[in-house]
Amino acid sequence: MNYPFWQIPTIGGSLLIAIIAVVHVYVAHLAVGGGLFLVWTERKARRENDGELLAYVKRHTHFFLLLSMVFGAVTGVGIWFIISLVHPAGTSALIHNFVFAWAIEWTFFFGEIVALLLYYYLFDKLAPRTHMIIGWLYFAFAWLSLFVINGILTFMLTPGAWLETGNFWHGFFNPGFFPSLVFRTAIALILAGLFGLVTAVFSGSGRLRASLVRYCARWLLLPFALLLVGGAWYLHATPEGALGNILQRNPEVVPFSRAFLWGSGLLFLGGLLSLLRLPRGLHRGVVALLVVIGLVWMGGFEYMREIARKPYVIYGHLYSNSVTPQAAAELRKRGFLSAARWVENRAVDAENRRDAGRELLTHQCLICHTLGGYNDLLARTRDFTAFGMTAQLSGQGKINTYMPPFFGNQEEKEALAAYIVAELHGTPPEEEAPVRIRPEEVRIPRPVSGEDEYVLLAWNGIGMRCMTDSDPWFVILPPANTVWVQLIRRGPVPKIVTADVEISYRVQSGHRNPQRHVPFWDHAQQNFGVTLEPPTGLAGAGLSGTMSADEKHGAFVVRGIPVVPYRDDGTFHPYPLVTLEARDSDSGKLLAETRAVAPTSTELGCRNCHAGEWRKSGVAGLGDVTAQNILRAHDRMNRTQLLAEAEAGHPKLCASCHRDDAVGARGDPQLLSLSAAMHGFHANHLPEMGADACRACHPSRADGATRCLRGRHGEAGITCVECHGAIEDHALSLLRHEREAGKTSVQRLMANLEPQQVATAEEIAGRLPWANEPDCLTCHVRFSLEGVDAFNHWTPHGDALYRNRSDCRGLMCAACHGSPHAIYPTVNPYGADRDNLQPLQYQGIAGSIGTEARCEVCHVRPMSAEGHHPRMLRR
Amino acid sequence: MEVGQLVPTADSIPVAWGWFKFLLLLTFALHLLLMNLMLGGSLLTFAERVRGRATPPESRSLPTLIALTISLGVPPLLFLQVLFGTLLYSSSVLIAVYWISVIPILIAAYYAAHGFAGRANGGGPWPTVWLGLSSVLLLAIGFVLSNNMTLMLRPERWTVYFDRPDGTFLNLSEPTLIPRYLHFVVASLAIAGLGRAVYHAVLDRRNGTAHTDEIRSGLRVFALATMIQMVIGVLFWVLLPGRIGALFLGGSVVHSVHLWVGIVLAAVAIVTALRARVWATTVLALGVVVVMVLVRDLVRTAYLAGVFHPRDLTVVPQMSPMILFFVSLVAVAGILVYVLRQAWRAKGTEKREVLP
Repeated sequence: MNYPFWQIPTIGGSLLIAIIAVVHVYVAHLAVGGGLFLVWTERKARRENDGELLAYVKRHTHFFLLLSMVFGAVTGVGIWFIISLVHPAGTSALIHNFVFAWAIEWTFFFGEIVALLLYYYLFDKLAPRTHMIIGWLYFAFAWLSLFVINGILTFMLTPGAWLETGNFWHGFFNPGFFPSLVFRTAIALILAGLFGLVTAVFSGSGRLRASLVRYCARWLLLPFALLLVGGAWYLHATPEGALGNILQRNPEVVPFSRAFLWGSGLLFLGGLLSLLRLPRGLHRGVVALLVVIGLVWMGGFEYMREIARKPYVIYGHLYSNSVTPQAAAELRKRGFLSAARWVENRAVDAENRRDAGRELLTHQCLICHTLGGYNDLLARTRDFTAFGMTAQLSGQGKINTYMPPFFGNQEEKEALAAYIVAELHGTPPEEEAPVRIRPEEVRIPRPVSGEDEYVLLAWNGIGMRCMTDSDPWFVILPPANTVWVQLIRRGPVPKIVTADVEISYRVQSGHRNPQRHVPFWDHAQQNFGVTLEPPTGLAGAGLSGTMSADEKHGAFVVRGIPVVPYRDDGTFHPYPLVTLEARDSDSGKLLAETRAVAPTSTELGCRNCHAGEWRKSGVAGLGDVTAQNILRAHDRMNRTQLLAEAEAGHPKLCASCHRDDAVGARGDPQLLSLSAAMHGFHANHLPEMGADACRACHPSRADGATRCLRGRHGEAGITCVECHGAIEDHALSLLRHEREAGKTSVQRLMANLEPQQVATAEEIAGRLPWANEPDCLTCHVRFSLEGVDAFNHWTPHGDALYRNRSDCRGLMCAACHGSPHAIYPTVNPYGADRDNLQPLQYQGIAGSIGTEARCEVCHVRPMSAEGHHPRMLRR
Repeated sequence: MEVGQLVPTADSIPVAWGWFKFLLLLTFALHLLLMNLMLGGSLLTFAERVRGRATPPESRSLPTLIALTISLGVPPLLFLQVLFGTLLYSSSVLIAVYWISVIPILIAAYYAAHGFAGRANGGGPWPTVWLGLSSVLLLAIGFVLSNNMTLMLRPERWTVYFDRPDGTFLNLSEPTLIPRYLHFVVASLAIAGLGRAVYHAVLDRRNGTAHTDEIRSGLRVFALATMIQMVIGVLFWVLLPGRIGALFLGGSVVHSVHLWVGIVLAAVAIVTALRARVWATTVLALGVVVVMVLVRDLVRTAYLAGVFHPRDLTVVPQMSPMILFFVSLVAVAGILVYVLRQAWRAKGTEKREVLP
């Protein structure tokens, strides 16, 4: 931002640095090790009085001169040139902090040059002792040159105490200095052996060649011991974040770490192979191959070191895109463009949004990414919508810390996201259009009359059962709706009946062919390990059948009804009705009949970020493209192969790895629960959005196809956030529980989450999903409303959940008040009273059962005592 | 857009800016001398070969001269970055494609020089081709350098970045570009001519030979080139912005004294050269080089008046690294003096050229 940015987006400046630097360090290390090789071999030749060997040393010196002094020295200057072009700010920081280190290095470099020239040109003209002194001087200067440069190079990765003190010596003799020095010295010696082989295999007589090749091979092999020691020491000295990058958290490092590891092995093997007596041609071939492998090996190491540093160019001091950590907060507040120098647009407005986005891309992204080349930004952003791209920018640098955060205000973030999506990918901006729903008339079941002996109350367990229909790719939730009923024999003292009756259920017609609409049954074997005949669900329930008695709750229940939100005609309808009938077990006489919704939705907003189309009717369903994009992101960030496996016909249930009590899967105990992982990850990307973050994924959009918050709370304007917390808080509660269970991986997800409803993250109580949920009595203190803030007051266990709770008479809360998220009275978008059927059936009013003192619904007469809970008779 | 917006904020320096200015000018002068010998020598030899004349044996030292020129180019580039990095980096990015091409061109020139040196005594056209190629490439490098050195002084031109951010700009509209470039090229011929004369004078002194013709011809080249320099210098001066040109014509005593001392020294050097006074000419020429390096710095400072001055840089003092630099400089210099003396003695016994 302080300097102009050289815009060569298809090539990328970093690639140019890499090309020059890798070639240079290859030759430069050779120059160091080769210095020792030359003088040591000369010493051997003179001691053994071996004229042939001495002549070889001279030839090798000439080769060495041409390679190291011309190519090595000029590419060394070339690094200076290229880094100042590609990263002027970083170069300036290195130059200004270490100007005298560079100057000292130059004195050694100059000495090295002069010594090498004299060593070669006066090879036969000096007394042997003098000549060897010059040879030793050459090596000493070369190694000292490495010594000094090593200080600057390691400073970039491990600046150590310099970050606090700014002291030259603290920066120079940083924690990585000596490990790196040992490591690089080993590399230098290995390369000396390798390049010794190059000239050795071309040496004249067979005797000399054979002995030289073995001699050089030993030079190549022995320093590997030093390399191992230096390497282990180097890793030990590397900061944790950088180590994470090296150990493949950053997917960019994978090919380079492989190149280095494989290269090490192959070089060693090549050295061993050279010890064997091989035909001359084969020897030359092996050596030529080793030279290429050596270059790749060297490149692998240097790239690993570069990638380890990310997102910094000077670790902890200067980000890759030339922003300092100290400036970050100010840039978020004030904006990047107003603080940058080499930009034309100083702030984002309606007219310049595109150009401002381009300038932000230039100055923040293109230092590492290209457009179509190495580390291609286009490939990495093609799976996003503009909203998703904004979310990606919001989350950048938080979980995967190898990228810097986005620097700038919200308008700039959105302008950049829009530029990437609309301009680079040509994807037109898409606003999710309001879904037009045609409400239906719903028939109220036959009202109860004086002669009726029974009241049948029914409800769905959680008010909205979401499911995924992306079975060929992955499954988060299968179709599995749970319906409860309680049968009450009316009378002055009503009784809850669980014996001698049979309760049947039947999903309404028009919803009886789920297998035509979702691929659940086609992939049940891969996802769940069972083969199911449609329309049988995972728990054995079909679309009609008999409910089981649940003595504990004094109720009947059917779990896992595989009802889906698609009608036979293919339209999306998330509120199918279930007819419930209570009959005498012996006589089969119909005792009571009612209907209730089995709410189920596939309106999961993954596509809002991960692009792709809705699977069904343009309003719901997890489409193939979206699913693939999700798997691709998961694979990239977690080094999994889920997409490839799915493409090979082996999709997975997410809960097979990530525990999810909603499907009863224990997952891998080392991994985060599904809820913690999902919310923890996405909370980092959707910050400070309140309930909008919830709506981005869950089917609670006020203009969406489901509108699941249809109960009394929703009508009162209460959103997800008041009970569950904003996504940050929600995630922190889940992650904290995982942390308390000893899972250290939560740190990545928690580190950058800023709580919204409490002051600090530590104030948030941990909770187990599906067991510790908001407790109604937090707001409804003694059944009287006292404020609206249920967050952070969790039910102690699953039995205390609203949906599992009963009053002192055994009547379940939900029996009278309706399903969670659909508390009576409700306003269902698909017909206002679709969720109010029992209140209307039994009392003619769409409210809680017994509202306005309609006690006769069960008691057959008015009551004056508040027998179920306090204040129940208030009007 | 205000020009000031584009001038980057500079990093702090560890010792007072004067140290860096001193080191910059000193090492630049040394680099300049070697560069002149390298480029001028290359051009002279090429001209001689084209004209069918014998190739002087010392011309085989071209690769060595290139190596030493590069080595001595490092410190002035370093100290220039310390003082003027904000300007240099900015202008470099504007001409990035050409700027980075200096590296492959230099490698090619270097290998071409080796190609020439290895066959200098052989027949056929190839040595001349290699030498010609090397010369052309070295000239191209000089042209790019002149571009950058002029562009870094003109922040008002930098807005071109917004139209050409791909680094393909060249500062061709700069009026002083060509005279400035020619000033360096012709100076190279002059110093190379003088260098030859000195080389043969040294050989004569050591070996008791008499290379009178070589010395005279070298000094003639020096004198002629320096005369041309006078003309180019005037042209350069005329094309400088008026306010800067006026400084050297009485507008500023310091500026004027420097320039006129240089001109007088050069004029006297021409006379001594034509009289074949090799050592007097050498001393005078060195004086001219030093003065002209100072004049060049005064011109730079004048260009940047109101935009940037190194004294504005923040100093966060840390002396010890500089002390260690001087210690290592002295130590390495001492060691090199020792080995060069060894080499000198060894070569002296063979009565051959000092360098290959």
